[in-house]
Amino acid sequence: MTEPLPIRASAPKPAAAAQGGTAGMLWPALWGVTVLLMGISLYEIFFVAPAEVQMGIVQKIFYFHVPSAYAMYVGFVTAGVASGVYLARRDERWDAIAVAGAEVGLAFCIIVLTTGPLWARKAWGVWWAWDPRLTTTLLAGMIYVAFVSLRGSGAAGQVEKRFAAGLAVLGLPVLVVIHYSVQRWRGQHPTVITSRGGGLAASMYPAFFLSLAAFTALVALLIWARTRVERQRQRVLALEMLATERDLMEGDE
Amino acid sequence: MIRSWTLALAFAMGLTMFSGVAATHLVAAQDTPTADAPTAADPESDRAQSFRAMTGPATEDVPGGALLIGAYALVWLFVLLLILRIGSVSRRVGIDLARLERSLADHEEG
Repeated sequence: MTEPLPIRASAPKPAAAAQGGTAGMLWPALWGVTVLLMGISLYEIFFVAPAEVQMGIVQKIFYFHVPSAYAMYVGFVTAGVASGVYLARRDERWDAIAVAGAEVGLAFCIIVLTTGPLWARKAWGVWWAWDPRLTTTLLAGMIYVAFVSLRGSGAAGQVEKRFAAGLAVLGLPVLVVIHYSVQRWRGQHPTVITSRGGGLAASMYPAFFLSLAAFTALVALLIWARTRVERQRQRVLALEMLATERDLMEGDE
Repeated sequence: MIRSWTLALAFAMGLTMFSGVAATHLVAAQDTPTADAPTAADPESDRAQSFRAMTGPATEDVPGGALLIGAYALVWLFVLLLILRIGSVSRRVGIDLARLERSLADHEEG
């Protein structure tokens, strides 16, 4: 099932080596920044930001729905770009980044698709509408569900890897469609934040930007963590191939 | 078996994407307001021209606070599930790595 993993310069290093140096210092720093930003944004959202005049308190879902959508974009774009580079170079490091980006992006896509309906129930009176942005977001999620299904077991061969990478690259145009779907197709999804200046009250911006910063740190942290684990998994596969070559794997299951 | 199943699933997902985008475009093109069917974009004129009897319960109370807390809980539930998954894969990989390195080291010595 699993084809040989070439052991070369890009082969993953042992965990101890991967945690040393700059990465070893950045890791706890990023953790600290994420927790701090999450705490401050939580306070801003629930205790400082005012309730919206028509929707009331439920509008505050916006403060983590939109940053989650942004985190979804970060994850999916990371997966798409890394997959493109993997297809061009066949470098396992990019494959690990693609897997990490897709999994993390998919988690945030699920968050977007579950928090949105909770807001819609109050604002629109329905849990779901086949609005262009909602529909295209669901479709993008389905593409990356396929990617994660192909790659989730960790035993993917070269064919599955290339096929999944192709799917991730294919998903990139859908992200552009999601972004412009509201303007192009005039759906009912709100467009509060635009390049022309938004319809957000000035007192709402601190909570929004703090939450955006917190989710940026969180998505970076999660992609980094998942990439490290995927690199270790690649090392395991490489060692399994080595052990098989030396007949160490007989009867080992 | 698993490989062909996942490839079929992936193909179906791709096909769904293209048909879905096309369907979205068609639905959006047909979804133009008409005089007979007032839309949510113009609720004032609808209310100004007709009074309609409510069907279902007389009052509806959608608790915004509960929806907000539910949404926030869902965010952290999914983030937690992702972290647990990363932890689970990491633990499994760590065990495999240690076993393989030990086997290879024993082989080198032996």
